[in-house]
Parts: sequence; structure tokens; C-alpha cells
Amino acid sequence: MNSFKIALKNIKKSRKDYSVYFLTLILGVAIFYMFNSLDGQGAMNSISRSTNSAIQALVSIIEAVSVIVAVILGLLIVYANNFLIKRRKKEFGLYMLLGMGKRKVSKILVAETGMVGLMSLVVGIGLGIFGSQFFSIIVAKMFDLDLSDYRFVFSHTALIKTVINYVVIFAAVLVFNTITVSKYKLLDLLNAEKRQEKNLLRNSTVSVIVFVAAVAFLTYANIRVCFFGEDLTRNAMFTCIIGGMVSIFALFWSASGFIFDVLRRFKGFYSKNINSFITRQFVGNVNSSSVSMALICLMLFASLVIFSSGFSLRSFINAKIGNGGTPVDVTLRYEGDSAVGVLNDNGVDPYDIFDEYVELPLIKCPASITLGSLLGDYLAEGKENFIMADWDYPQSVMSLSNYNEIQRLFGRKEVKLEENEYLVICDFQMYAQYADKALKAGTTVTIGDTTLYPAKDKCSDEFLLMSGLGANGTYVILPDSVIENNPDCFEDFATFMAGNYVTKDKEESYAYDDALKIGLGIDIENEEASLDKMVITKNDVRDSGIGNTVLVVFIVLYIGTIFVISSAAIIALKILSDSIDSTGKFKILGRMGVTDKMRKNALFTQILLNFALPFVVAFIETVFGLGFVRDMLKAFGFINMGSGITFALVVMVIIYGGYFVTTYINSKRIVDLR
Amino acid sequence: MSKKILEVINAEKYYGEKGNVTKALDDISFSVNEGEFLGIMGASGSGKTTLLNCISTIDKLSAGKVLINGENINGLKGGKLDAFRRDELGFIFQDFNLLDNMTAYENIALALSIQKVNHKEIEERVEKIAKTLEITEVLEKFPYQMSGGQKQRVAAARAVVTNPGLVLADEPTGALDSKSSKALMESLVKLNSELNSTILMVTHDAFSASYASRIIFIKDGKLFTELNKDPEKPRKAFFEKIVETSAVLGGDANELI
Repeated sequence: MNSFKIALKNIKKSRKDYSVYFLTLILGVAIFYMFNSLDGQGAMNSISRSTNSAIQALVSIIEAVSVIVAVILGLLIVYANNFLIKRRKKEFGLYMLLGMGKRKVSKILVAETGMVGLMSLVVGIGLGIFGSQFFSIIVAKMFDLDLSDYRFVFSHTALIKTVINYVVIFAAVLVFNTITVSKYKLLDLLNAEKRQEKNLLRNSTVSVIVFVAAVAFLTYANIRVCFFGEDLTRNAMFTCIIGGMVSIFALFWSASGFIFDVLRRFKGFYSKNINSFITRQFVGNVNSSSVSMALICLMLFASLVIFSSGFSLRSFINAKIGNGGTPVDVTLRYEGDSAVGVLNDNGVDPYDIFDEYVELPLIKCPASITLGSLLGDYLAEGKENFIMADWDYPQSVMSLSNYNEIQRLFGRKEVKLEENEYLVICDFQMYAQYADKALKAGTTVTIGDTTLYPAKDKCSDEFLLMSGLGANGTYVILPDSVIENNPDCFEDFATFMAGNYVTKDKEESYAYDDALKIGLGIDIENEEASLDKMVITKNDVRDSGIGNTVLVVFIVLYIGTIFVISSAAIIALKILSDSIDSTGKFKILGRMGVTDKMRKNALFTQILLNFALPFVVAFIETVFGLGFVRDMLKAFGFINMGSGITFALVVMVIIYGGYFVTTYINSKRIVDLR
Repeated sequence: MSKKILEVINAEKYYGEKGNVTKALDDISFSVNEGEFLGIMGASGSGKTTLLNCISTIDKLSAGKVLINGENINGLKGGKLDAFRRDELGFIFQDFNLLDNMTAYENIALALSIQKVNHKEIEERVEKIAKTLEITEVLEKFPYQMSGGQKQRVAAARAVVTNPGLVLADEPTGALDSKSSKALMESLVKLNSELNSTILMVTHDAFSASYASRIIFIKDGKLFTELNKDPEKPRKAFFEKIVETSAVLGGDANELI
């Protein structure tokens, strides 16, 4: 029999052991292919042309992330492979005893690894190709994209990338295997199975103390970060994060001793049925894999947080690019006398483009109204958080009557002001949170002899220039009389223009966008943000919104999924290996008269607890962590995180649950309970 | 006449297909009375392990009957079979078969907790049996912290703590040195005489066998002969008789023990 035949037989024989390995490899290959083939996908094509830059960004970020993903998957595969090799020490020992040289054993192993790798690569890419089509449809649905030009796409570059990556990973695995085999000693191989378990639990007193301390610190850090996150200084934040991570490790390190100590005290529970056995098994698992469990917990935590925040960002942006965020086809700010004038000079007649438009002056009052002055007594607090800001920068001012003209055009409610009142418009929450405090404190603005009081105790969450991110400048609205009576205080600043095109056709509107930009002297091939000529169209907002969201959602999905797969695979492999060690124990239980049902229950409970423990800890941490993330995101106007968390949980439960079920079924087979 | 705990009637076990049948057990009949310590001896391949497996419900006879406490165990299935093993049988194996992630105490207690015995009673009974078998000081130890002899006595304690109708011991001294073997056999005799446990022991070691009160010899799946211990004579005499019989049984110098 040649090595190839032996290898093939071995793979067939150890299907049980290989199942999780296969599952992980196939999922890994499929996901790798799917994400790397994104640029060619139908859904991507139907995101319109101006989003191209976003897609370019997406592709380059995914390429960068793929490197990290490849490293993670590579480590995971080496780890999984190591498990398989360990399992089969006795088999290798037998080969050597029968006179097979180490070289030949290595050869068999090379053939096995190669075949497994090839099979999973083929199956994985197949799955990836179909998965990516399905993925396209989901993406299209998610962002209401046009799927009319949908077609079956096969990406050669993604295929080549995937193959190269996996060939490299498998080459590493081969080298690793060969080294491992060359180090084996025959005696150790043959005795591998006789090894007795020496799973000494950690000292229970120390465990209890460490556990309680870890829980105490986590609770403290959670509460601080979740409820007082906004008030934390950078150092305190750092302490909470690092301390939290250390606590997680301490928690898992001491969990086995603590859980055992507690459960054993409930004698009625502990001496019931085979609870003592289940407890010992579970505690033994946690004891021997505390470090990996802590790592898994952190990975699950990271993926839960990025999943939920990523998907909340999606709903946020979708809301922003809806009608509320884009009331007109175009808004622009031009530092000069008149944008209309410039357009006319350049041969673009606004009447040809616009169905309706307004052009209104923006003025400034450097002496009284600046970025800093609006914060009143809270300037110091603002300064702590915005290091780069120019606090003397004058804020744009507009008269009430002009502002109401815009309100009418935008379809918003008109505003009323008393003669001694002013209004601040700001939808940039990072700035608004301090301005709000100043307004609430009644900070006054003095123009000439007139003292003005806040009309509202907070900023109006409105905007003049459209933006997909809710990060607009601040505008101060003053009564017309104040501006008329104090002409010396004000200078012309810029003009603001907004309007709706004559056309409703999408393609035509893009042409108008370009005409308008060119008319104002903006280089559309090389568009750069500049304060003096800012043209923001509905198309821009929508496209960049979709582009950004797609970017975020994809990266989040990519990393999150890989994290979840890695975590689940590590737990699954550990459990399968433990199950093989436990075969004898389950046999003994059977001889003692423990029913099959009870033994299945024991196995199920043990596996469930193993999967659940890191997940539950990660979930609790996520709930608190998101409390903080929510606070941060609120600065941009986020509110709803519910859908994000739900989605994250669904993805987790599918992948994690899939691994759980596979593990349980295989473990049952391993311990001979059918 | 004391009660018959175990009756084996015309037991037969075949392996293989039609035309090429090996008879592992060939028409074996015997019985064990309550409180008896019976040894079964035979060379490797004589069928003694098959017999033990059939009695312990791990394997099934091709023909014949095994009655334990008058119940035909061949007819037992599923839950009833488990309940029977749990309540009527106690096992001692050559390789101890202790759960190595549990302490001696927990190993013994487990046999009781699966019978749904209340935890206070479990404590009392484990302590009592530990005292009888002199393993009180290792109760909180794990199997890897104990000597072979201690492990086997813990296994014996687990086997008898439930007061089973029949204790089945399969080469209990097979993995022990001579000193531990002696201590274990003395423990088994103690269990037999003090607690009136009925013990069925399979062995090919004449020394261990000499502790039994009666010995059945099996050769090629058939009952060869039977020896009874004379309570008047010392154990040494019985041992010599066993060695003698073994020699005849083997019929080959290589198989002399």
C-alpha cells in the first residue's frame, strides 16, 4: 500500500475527528473568497459611479484585513491540525513499530494534509462562489440597490488569492507536521493513550478570592464605562479596558475552582444522579482551557460589539440619506458675492437647471460670535476634547427671515424669534453637546448694545448644507432687526444656495451636479473638500452614505464572522479531544448502570456549558460595552442599536450554534452513544 | 439450602457464520448460592471472559439461560437492563475502571447517587464501606494519587456499596503486585464473610483463586471440573490443589501456571 492509499483510508476512518476541521476550513475558504470577490459583484456594480472611490477603498481595506484574516485562519488551521496529530499518536507509533520509517510516516501525513486541504479548498471555493451570489442579493436588499444588471459573477483574482493563501497555510502545516513527527519517540507514541489524567484543580481558596476580585473589578469597570463613560478621562478609560481584560483572564483562570467549590457545597445537587460527574467534567474542561476560553470570550465580545455597532451605523446612515437628510437636490456654500452670478458668468443659467432655488447671504460677526464664544462658560470643557479646534473662528450668521425662506424650501417648520433672542443651528453632536450646556445656562450674545438670550435651551438639530454624517457647521440665526441696527458689527461671509432641479431623472441629475460644480470652478475629476466652494448634492450624500455603510458593514461582517468561526472552532476541537479522552469514562458509567439517556444528557450539558460560558461572559460585557459605544455614537446622533444587536446575535447563533450541534453529534459518536 | 443468586443453564455462545462456527461456550451449567465466593479459572481463550460478559449483561448468549435472582437477564432491554446493572450487579475490573477525574469518595458515591440515594445516606454508606476496606485515608484522593492496590479496593468499595445481588470481578489482581494482590483478596474475603456479598471472580492466577470457596474450571468453552475448598484445611492446601488441576487442565507444560 502506498502512502496515498493509506492517507485516503485514514481520512475516511477519522471522519469524526475531521468534521470540525473540515467545517472550519470550508467556512474559512468560502468567506475568504466571498469577501475578496466583492469588487466584481453585481450589487457593487449597481452602486452608482460616484461611489467608485468607496468601492476602491473597500477593496483596499478588505485586502489589508485579509492579511490579518489569513494569519488568524493560518494559526487556527495549524492549531486544529495539531489536535488531529495528537489524537493519532498511537497510530503513528504502530506504523513505526511495524518498521515504517519516520520519513514514510511524514509522507502519509503530507498526503493526508494535502488531500484534506485540496478537498476543503474545492468545496470551500464552490461554497464561496454560490455564497457570494447570495450575498450580493442580500446587500442589494439592504441598501435598496437596483439589481437589474445582476449576473452570475466569478472572480478570478479572488480565486487566485484564495488558492495562494491556502497553499501557503498548508505548506506551513506540512512543515509543522513533519517537524512534529520527527520529534516523536516510539515509546511515547505507544504509551500516549495510557496517560492518566492529572487534572489538578487550582487551590480553591485562591480561586475563590481571584474570582471574586475579578468579578468585582469587572462590575466596577462595567458600571463606570457604561453609565459614566462620558466623564472618564483617557487614563481611567485605559485602566478600565486593560483591567477588564486582565479580569477576564483572571475570571476564567479561577472559574473552575470557584464553580466547583460552590457546586460542591450544594450536596443535594452534587450527589444527585450523575451531577458530580458532569460537574467534574465541566470543571476539568474549564481548568485545562482557561486561557483559550478567555481569548475566545474576548473575541466573541469584539465581534458582538463590532457587529452591533456596524449595523447600527447602517440604519443610521440609511435614515440620514432618506428624505429627512436630503430635502433638496442641491445645497452649496460659496465664499463670494453670488454663486448665481458666477454661474451666469460661466455660461450656466440657473433657470435652465433649477425648478426652484434660493440664494441667501451668510454673514459673520468675528467680535461676538465665534466657535468659542458660543460655548460660554463651557469653553474650557470643550477645549479638553477638541484639541485641534480654532476657537476664534467666526460662526456663520443668518437673518431670521432668510432662514425661514430655507425652512420653507426644505419643507421644515418656520421659526419665530423675539427681538432679543438668538437661535443656534447645529447637527454636529460633538460640538452641540457643549453648546447645549451653554444655551441651557443662558449664555448671552452681545451685538453692539443689544444683549441676546437663547431662544431655546439647546441647539436646533437642523442643517443648511446636506451631509450624510450629521457633521455640519454651526449657524447662528438672529432677528432681522439686530442685523439691520448694527451694520458695523457684521461682515459679508459667503452665500448659501439651495434648490431643486427641473429634472427628476437620476442620470440627468448627475449631469446637472457636474454642470453646477464646473460652473463654480470645481475640478470634478479631482474633487477636494474646500471651505470656499462647497457643493453638496442629494446624489453625493446618498452615494457616499451607501458607500460608507457598505464599507463598514462588510468589514464588520468579515472580521466578526472570522472571529466567531475561530472561537467556535477552538472550543469544538477542545471538546472533541476531551470527548476522546472521556470515552472510557462513559463506558464505565454504562457498566455502572447509568442509562444512555442520562449519559447523553451529561454529554450535552457538558458541551453546552463549554460553549455557553465564554459566550455568556462576552454577552454581559457587550451589553455594558455597548452602553458606552452608544454614548460615543450618540455624539453623531445615533439612537437605535436594537437592530444591530439582534442581527449580531442571529449571526452568532447560526455559526456558533452550528459548531455546537456538530460538536455534540460527533462527541456522541466518539463516546459511543448513538 | 441457601438461595440461588445466579443460575447458568445450558449456556452456549457461538461466533462466526454458518459452516464456520466457533463455540466459545459449549453447554455450560452451574449456579452460585447467596453469600458464596466462586472462582472461575481457565486458560486464555477458554471462554471465561465470554462467560463473564454474558453474566454481566455486556454480551448475550446464543442459547441457554442466565438467571439472576430468578430473573432471565437475556430478556432484559434498554432501561430495565440499565436498572438491573445498577441495582443487581457490582463490577471490579482488572484495570480498575475508576473515573480518573473524580476522587475515591466521589467514585464510590456515584454508584449510590445513580440509585437516587439521599446524600446523607450516601455519606454514611461510603464511610462505612471505606472503613471495612481500609481506604478511609484515600477517600479525598484522585486515582493517580493512589497505589494500584488502593485503586482496586476503591473499585471494590464502589462495586459493593450498593449491596448488589452479585459482585463480578474480572481478573481483579491482574494489574497488581503480589503484596497488593494479597491485600485485595483479603478484602474480598472480608466483604464475602462480613457483608455476605456474593462474589463471582474470573482469574487465571492460582494464588488469587485460592481465596475463593469454590472454583469452576473451564476448558475450550466446556465445564472441565469443579473444586471445593475444605474449610478444615489451610488455604495452602487448596492452592496446591488448584495448581495441580491447572496443570492437568492445560495439558501443556507451557500453560502451567
